[in-house]
Amino acid sequence: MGLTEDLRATVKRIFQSNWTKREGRVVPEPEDLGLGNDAVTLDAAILYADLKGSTSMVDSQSRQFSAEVYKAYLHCAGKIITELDGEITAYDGDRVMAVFLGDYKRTNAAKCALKINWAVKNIVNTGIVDQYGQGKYTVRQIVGVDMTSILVARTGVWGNNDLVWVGPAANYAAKLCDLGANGHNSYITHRVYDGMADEVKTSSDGREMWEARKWTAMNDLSIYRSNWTWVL
Amino acid sequence: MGFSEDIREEVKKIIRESWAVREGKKIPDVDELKLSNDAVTFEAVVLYADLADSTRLVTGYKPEFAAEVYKTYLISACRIITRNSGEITAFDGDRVMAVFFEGGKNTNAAKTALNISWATKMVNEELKAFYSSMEYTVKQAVGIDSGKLFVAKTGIRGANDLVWVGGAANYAAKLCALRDDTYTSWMTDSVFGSVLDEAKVSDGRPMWTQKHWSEYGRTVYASSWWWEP
Repeated sequence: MGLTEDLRATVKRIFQSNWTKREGRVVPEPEDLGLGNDAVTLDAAILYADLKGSTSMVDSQSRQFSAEVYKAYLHCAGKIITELDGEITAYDGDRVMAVFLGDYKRTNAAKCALKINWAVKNIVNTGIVDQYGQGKYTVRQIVGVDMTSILVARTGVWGNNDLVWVGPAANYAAKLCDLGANGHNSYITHRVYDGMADEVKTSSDGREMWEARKWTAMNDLSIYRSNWTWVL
Repeated sequence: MGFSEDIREEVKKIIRESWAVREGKKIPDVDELKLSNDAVTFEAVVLYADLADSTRLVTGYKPEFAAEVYKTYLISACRIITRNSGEITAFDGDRVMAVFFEGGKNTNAAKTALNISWATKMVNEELKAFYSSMEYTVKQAVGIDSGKLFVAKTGIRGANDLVWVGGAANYAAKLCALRDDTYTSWMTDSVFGSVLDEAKVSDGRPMWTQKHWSEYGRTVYASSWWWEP
């Protein structure tokens, strides 16, 4: 069969086959999923950590320096996600996607946002100043978190990283990172905020760490933003 | 050492260490690069294939149906990329990044865009054939740019481990946002200049239209054509 017939047959089979679906408690390994219409559904908090301004960075800074920024940011985000029981599920250029499961998924994901903010300000940006002096470059980033049911399926086209994550939270978490022109670093939806522990809502001296907003582009979805950091 | 000091040490090392950079001819295996500041550079063409409007899909339709759309589009795009000698380098939700090298890289990438445009038409035909009452049409865009890429290892476990630094990776992704209901394939003039006629002209008719990308002040080319692979 030529590629054309082959693709058409594959596409036909995907539309026609019934799905087998089960509820999951852990992030599935690709091997846990069949190549047909087989899926695991998860109640998951999805987090995107997104480096902002990377196009102007690669246009104006050396490749080596840009690579240092990418590596340093991804290293911090990756370590903090793992420390808070999140799992990195995709990494593409200047952003990371992670999944949080279990009873503390909202609290952990929101805390993760505040900790990444701390690390960028107090480890990455201070590190750049120490090495290159003031005024070289300031890393800007935004973390977005949402929580919904997510369907995880396998595509079978790319080694071990070929899972697709289908559900509103994956899209909203990514789009939340495009907000924040006004300087806030963490955005979460009410679905995350409503169920998270007081420790990530209120600071140790009793101040609110999140501010309620309406997301006009998304039918006035209720969201919260924060500029707070959480020390590692 | 505590968690915080550990991260600080690692970041310091990344920022302070000097780089070992060498010219490459192909995508390095993850094992070929050290975790320290070790990198390979090469000239390449970067392609992004991006499913448009996926938020409407996942919020307005059943998850199984949305997953079928994701799978059919992404599988088709990936097979076509591989068939045209491209290498898939990242897979993130609703888009795929691929890199083309060496002989014919610009032509191969241009052809891939037009082939994916055919695949999208085919997916929509099959979708309508099975879900006759469904009002959904798959929309997508492919963006292509070329330039020098710098590849290093990130050390992030459980994810694709390489970081791709270079304007082409950013612009190829951003070109996908220029899509409209007519034009779904987009490339920069640096790519277009090296594309052979076979992927530019069909029976004497030009398949690509020159446009101005005002946001970045660049000349780009857009196509509404499809090409059966």
